[in-house]
Amino acid sequence: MSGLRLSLTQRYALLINGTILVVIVLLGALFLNKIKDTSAEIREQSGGELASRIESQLVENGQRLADGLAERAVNPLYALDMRSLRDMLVEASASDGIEYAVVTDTEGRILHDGSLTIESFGQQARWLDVGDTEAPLARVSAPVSLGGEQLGAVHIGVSLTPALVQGERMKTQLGDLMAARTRDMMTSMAIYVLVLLLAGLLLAAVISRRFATPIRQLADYAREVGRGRRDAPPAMERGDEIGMLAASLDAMSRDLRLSAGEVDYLAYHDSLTRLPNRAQFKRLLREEVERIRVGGRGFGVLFIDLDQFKQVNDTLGHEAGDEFLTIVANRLSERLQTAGLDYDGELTLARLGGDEFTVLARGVTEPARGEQLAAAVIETLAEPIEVQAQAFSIGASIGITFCPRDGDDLNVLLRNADRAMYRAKEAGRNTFCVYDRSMDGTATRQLSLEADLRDVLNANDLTLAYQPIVRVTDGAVVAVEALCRWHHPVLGYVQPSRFVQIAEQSGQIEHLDQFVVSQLLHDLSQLHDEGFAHLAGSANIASLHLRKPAILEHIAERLDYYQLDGEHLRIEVREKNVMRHLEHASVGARRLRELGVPIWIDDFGTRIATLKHIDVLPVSGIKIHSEFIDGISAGQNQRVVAQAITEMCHNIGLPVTAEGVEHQEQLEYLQEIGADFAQGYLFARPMPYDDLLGYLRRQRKGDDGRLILLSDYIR
Amino acid sequence: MGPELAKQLRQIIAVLLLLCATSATAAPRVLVLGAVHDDPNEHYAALKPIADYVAAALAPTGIESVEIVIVPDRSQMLNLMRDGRIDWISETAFGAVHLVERAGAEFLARRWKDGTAEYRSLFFAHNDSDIETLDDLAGRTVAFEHRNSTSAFFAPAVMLGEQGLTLHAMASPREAPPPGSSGYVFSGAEYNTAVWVDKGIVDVGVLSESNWRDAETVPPAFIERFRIIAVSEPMPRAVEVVRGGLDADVADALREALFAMHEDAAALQVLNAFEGTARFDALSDTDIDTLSRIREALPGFREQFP
Repeated sequence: MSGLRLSLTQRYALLINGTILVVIVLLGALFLNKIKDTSAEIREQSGGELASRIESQLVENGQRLADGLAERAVNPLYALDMRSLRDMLVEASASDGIEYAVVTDTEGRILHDGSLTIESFGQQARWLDVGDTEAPLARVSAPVSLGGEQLGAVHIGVSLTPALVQGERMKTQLGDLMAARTRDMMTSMAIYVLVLLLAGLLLAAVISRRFATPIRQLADYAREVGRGRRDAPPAMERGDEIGMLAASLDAMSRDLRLSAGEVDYLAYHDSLTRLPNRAQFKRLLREEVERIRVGGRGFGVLFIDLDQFKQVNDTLGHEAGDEFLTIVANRLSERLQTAGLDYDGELTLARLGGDEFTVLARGVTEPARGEQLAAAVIETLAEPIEVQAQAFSIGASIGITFCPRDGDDLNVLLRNADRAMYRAKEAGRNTFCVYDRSMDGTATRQLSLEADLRDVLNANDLTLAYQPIVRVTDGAVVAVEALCRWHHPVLGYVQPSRFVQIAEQSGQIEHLDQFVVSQLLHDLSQLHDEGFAHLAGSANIASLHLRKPAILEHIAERLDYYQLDGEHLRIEVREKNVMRHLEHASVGARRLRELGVPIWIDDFGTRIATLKHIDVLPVSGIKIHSEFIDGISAGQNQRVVAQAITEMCHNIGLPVTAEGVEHQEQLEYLQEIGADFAQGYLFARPMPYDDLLGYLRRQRKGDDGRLILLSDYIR
Repeated sequence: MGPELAKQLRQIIAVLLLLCATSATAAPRVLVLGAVHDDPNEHYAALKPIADYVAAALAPTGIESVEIVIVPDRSQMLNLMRDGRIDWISETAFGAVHLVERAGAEFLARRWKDGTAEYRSLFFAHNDSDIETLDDLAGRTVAFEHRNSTSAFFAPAVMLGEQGLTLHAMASPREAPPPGSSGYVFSGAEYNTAVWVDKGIVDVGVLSESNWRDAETVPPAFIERFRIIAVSEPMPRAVEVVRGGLDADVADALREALFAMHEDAAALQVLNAFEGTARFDALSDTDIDTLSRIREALPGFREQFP
């Protein structure tokens, strides 16, 4: 509704009174019309009837007069006694309503017209001109005969005007009468209308009091809930829809109260372990640092990294890994709380992500006490953990740092703890190490890792693992995703997130990306030669670097070198980087578009902002975050998210790939919601090139050898 | 009152008056004033004042009263006069001659009826007609008013006879007269005569001067369309005659009384009541001449107009 805003009361008043008015106007018009018609008819009929009755009476009278005159005219006519005829005619003409009276001969010629000079003498009576030709006239005649022989005739003209006048007068009178009656009726009707309208207003007022007021109260309440009000809505003891609305508002408000807390909780806690997350940990750390600045006591930080956790994940899968982490978290927090280590709740265990945990130890400033805590942690984890009927013994490498001893900046503290942790790893794992300044400088582990990375990049010692991407409808492999692997001689398997971060920080990321593109295209070229020319290869490239022409030109050069179409390469950009960089990287996006290289968004679905802007981003496809695929078997909400993302992407013509598909149930659901592609352990784990080749050969059935183009999935 | 009843009443009154008169002859000194009129009731009122006046005037002669007798037609009057039962009557010129000739009556005086001593008859034709004089009337039809009319029948008819025209009575004005003769009809009313001429029903009409001047009888529109083709000699408007055997003294006394009336202021109203009479006087020479001529023409006239 535009312009005029009306309250419910006003609407009801308008509606009711409008209805009343419409009905009255229609009925009134109908009645009036009918009355008008009827009255006109009555008027015409009555007036007409009267006129015709009077008319026939007049004619009858005229005839009688003519007959009498004819009798009287016998002698005068016989004797041509003009005087007697004149006397007779003058007398007749003097009668009311007699327009003329004449005597004619047998030929119809006028003998006398009653005038002194008889100027009409000899004229035909039927042509007799009567002054007012418009005046209605009845012409009556009677033969004048003597002894059976006709002598002539008497003709008189009887004016019918009186009849018409009477008729008209009657019509007028009837018309006046009808008009008066109609006026009376209109007056009555106006009174009825007034009464009805008043009743309508009253009714509207009642409805207002009964409905509009509570609705307005509830609306006010709802508005205040929107502004943060959390108490119960105004009491509505009623069983109707308004009561239901109040109850719903109450429920909604309650849910809001709950979910507001929940949101708060989720924002600062790890959903898996329920431990404080990285954000919360940093917040707590910051609080402590602030406290020290105003004279508070110091604290220690333990950085715990589980050894060989990847083994659990790789052996049993993602879910088992999660279960394992949960057990670790529970055991740690229990131990820290119950073994007398936690004085006055001063210890806070947090999970930073993956297999990294931290402990904020308030008041712990002595290395001895820190080491005591670390030892307790290692001891706690030493006991094997059973997951899915398999027992795993894993250790932990722990780095310890103290504030303010080692610094008073939270990032510095975290870096220190991290470095100490690496020192512990280098020391042979399952041990702890207290930070000291010797760990800064070139000999640090960090620098060592950077150097090592540079070495491997130069030596092309990094490897790529490939995970097939299949078509949901028939399981045919359409693409492979290249995943970088670094096996460190000392540290063992280094998480990609970790060495990518190192590469970014040390300016080697471009080098790394170039390595990935080169290797992927090389392997892809080989695959094509092996008869899998339809396959596309996916590479994860930090979009940040798309701004730099070097990587773009490298891609162009390599594509050209291997004689591959741009469509054979896909660049995956992580969702969190899309918004931050892709728009700025429009040069890169444009260049990739020129090359025909599609951009896919990785780990999609966790950021509202991307959802909102998905249709304006220069992307060709979406990879749904594995979190939502995990959730397919778990909860309705996650299912809905996967479905919503799929539908939304399809609506704007983007194909969808589901990551982390591990169960048949998930695949079925993906088929149900019409997802296009999928990857995950259900189909294949990431594997070296040689294994991939074997896998592809085994999977060949149902493969038509054709490159699945993105356009095939754009509806 | 219906015409039948009026007629009966008239007859009854006449008989009564006759009876009175008859008885009066035995008793001396009653003068009987007669009149021919078809409406005795109306006419009685005109006669009564002068009858009373004359009675008073004649008292010295022994006349004790003047009685009035009104009869509807001339022949009856003629008989009564012959029988000596009517002493005095006021007549038209022709009626007077008739009584003188047939009943031995004598002319007594001239009466200025309607204030007029003498009058003439006018012959008129339509302007469109080719009739110029009475000589042109052969083969044409002339309309008179009434058999009893002096000015509109006797006098002009006599004149036509003197003209040497053969007159032929016709039943209807629309008939054609026999070859060589002139037809005549009675119109029954002066107005009819005028209309008949105006509408070409007859060729010539005859009316007295007084009628001619009366717009109700001859409308001005007619006058414009009419042409007078002949005019009669003047004749007395009315003539008083007395019975031949009336006592000469009485007759003289009556004449004197009548002649003196217009000088008697008290009598003027009486005169006027009697048909607008202005005075009584002696017949002029011309009148006498005219009356003589009528008297001479009467036998032949009676032959011609039976």
